[in-house]
Amino acid sequence: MTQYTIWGPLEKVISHRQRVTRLYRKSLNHILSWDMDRNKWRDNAVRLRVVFDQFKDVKDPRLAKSILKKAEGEFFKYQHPQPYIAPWAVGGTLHERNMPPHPKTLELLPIQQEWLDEWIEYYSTHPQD
Amino acid sequence: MYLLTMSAPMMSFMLTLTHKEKIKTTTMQTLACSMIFFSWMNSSIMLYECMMNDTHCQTKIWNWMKTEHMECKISLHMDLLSSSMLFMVTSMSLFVHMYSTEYMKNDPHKHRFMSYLSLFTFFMLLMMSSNNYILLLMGWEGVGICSYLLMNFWYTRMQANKSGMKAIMMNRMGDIALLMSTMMMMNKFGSTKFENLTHMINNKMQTIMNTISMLLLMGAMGKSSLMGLHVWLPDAMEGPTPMSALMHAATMVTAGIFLLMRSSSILEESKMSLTITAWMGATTAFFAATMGTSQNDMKRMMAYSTCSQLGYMALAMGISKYSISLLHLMNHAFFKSLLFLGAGITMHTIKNEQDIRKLSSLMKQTPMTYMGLMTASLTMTGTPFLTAYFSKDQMMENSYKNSMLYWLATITAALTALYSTRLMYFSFTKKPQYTHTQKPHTTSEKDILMNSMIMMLTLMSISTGYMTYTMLTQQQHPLITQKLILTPLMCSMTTSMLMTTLYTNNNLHNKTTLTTLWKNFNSNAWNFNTFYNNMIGEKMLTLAHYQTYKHSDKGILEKIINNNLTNIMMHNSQNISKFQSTKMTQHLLTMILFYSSFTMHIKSQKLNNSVLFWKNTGCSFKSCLGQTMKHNSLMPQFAKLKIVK
Repeated sequence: MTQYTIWGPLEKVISHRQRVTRLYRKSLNHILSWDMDRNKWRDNAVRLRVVFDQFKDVKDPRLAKSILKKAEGEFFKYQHPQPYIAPWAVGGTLHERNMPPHPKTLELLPIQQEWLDEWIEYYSTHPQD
Repeated sequence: MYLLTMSAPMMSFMLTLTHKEKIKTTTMQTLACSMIFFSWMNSSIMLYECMMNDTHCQTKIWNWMKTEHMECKISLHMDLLSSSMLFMVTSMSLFVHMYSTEYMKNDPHKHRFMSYLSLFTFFMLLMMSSNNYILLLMGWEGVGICSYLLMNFWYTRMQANKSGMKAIMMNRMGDIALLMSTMMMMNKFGSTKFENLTHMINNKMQTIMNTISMLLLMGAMGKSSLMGLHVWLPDAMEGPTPMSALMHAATMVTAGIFLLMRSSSILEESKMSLTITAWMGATTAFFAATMGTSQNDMKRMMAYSTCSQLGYMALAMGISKYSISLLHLMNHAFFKSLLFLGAGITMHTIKNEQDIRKLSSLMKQTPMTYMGLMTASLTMTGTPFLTAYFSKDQMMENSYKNSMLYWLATITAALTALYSTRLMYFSFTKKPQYTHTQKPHTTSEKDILMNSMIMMLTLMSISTGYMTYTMLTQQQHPLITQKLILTPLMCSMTTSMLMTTLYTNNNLHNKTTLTTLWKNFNSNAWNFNTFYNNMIGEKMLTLAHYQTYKHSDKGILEKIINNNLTNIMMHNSQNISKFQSTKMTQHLLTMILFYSSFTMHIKSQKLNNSVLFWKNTGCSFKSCLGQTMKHNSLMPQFAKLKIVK
């Protein structure tokens, strides 16, 4: 039995419903990463929806859990090795580029502020210096 | 002139970095470009002298160090290899400097970027024109530092930091190997000068030659990202695109190949290392090409392509065709930098998107770039009469003695055609896939400077091979194709046409388990990173934690030495502190004991001193008396006084 995890540390935190919805969204993204053609992706997306709708009325929690585990296993098997990440998203090529410093790093300590104020006052009264 | 060629980029670096608040951005850019242009002019003259007039010269600048065993001078060496490399480096640097003025115009750290580029050019020129391994090592290390600085240019990006560290670590292995080989040369030959080594080498020292050449090969593996130490190159694409074009496509990665060319006299004495170089090259070319086929990031795909082409160069050196390797190096510099610079324009057109799944139908928006990239792709696949045709097919033909190498190179040629076609099809000719948020803006390709760079590089990509073939290889190229040349050509052409047909008909998306596994394997770069992380990195860290930290630092050093020492000191101090009590009698007793022992000690010492004094004076008197028999003037005054007393 292969050990797989697609949620990482979130696995024990998120609810069953969240796991299903996130799996659906993730699957759509990965199908788009596989199918470069958007029209083809549309067909596959419809098929995926049908599969998810097929099991939406399952009331037995054990059965639902086993179905979800099977689906996650299938996703793990067929997930794209390089899923598409938008440039500005986390992990994208523009992410964190030339990020401005945190506002707090520009704040001065009270002593520094006092010194700066004195300095400005002195030079405003003694411009020749 | 030689010194001026090198010092111009250094001056540019100093001025742009130190006076960034005083000099305006446009002035700074003009200054940097004009300095590099000056350097390029000089290197063109040098190329003319060395290539046309067959000149060979050495210039001594200053004596660096002189020890008992060896002497090292800072002196420059100019021959055909150096001048060709110098011309190539200054040309590429000039193109990239000019391109960067437009490309980086919205970046707040233009000064820093330009200054790093100039510094890199200086170190590259230093390395190429050095006449001994020590000076070469200086340039080599400098280039590595610049690579790290430029890779980590956007230092707020965590991924850029990681890539920089990875590159430094991987390059360090090669650097250590090069350092070891230099030390070995010093030890065995007493010199690191290229010319001296050429004359000193003989067949009798086979083991030493094998060791030195293998170390040199390892050094080249690190810098030129040959198989094993290649993992840093795709990650190095985190830096700005012009930097990728200059360093990780055209110049820096070819430093390893240059090192092997420079050490050709050593390599030729070791048949084992030549065979290993050839196999290393062919394998690198093949596996990098397979990885290139499954990449979706435009720049990473080009990085793997560079890796593959470097493998071809190593293959040519393994079969002792150094001139063809040099020719391919020069050709590769032009067409690969064209690919990178073109990719930069494409990315700017569609809002910094570099995933080819989102790039499509850009032919209308960027016709000039399309033309340039198409030329570069055709050149890379070895299309007849374009630049790479004169070098690539020659090296394949020469590798036919070993049929395995030949077929590996031929398959690689087909794979090259595959990823080139994939790149061109998905980026330029495919139906639009972008959404309204990513739609290309119409202002693309309006920068005249960037377009002119693309135009010039396109012309160079077409003509360099034809122009330099005869001059570098000293023979006429048979323009009419032979039987052997036709095979890789036919392979690559067939692959290109097949892939275009399949992509157009949209027949390449069968998602079976096998294709997924193959895609995963290729996308994960043949699991090299996983292997390094799990088998080497993790194991080494665990070993370091348990052995060095827990057992050595915390164990032997702390428990045995530190703890014992503290226990002894504590015990002693507790014993001593018992004297510090509140009992008056004890204090008085201590005082009496102290004073009595002190007086006794003084008295006994006085007595001893007096005895010793007379003994000593007696001896000195005797010895001095012996001396006076020979030299009267040597009688010491001190002895005289004692005698009188």
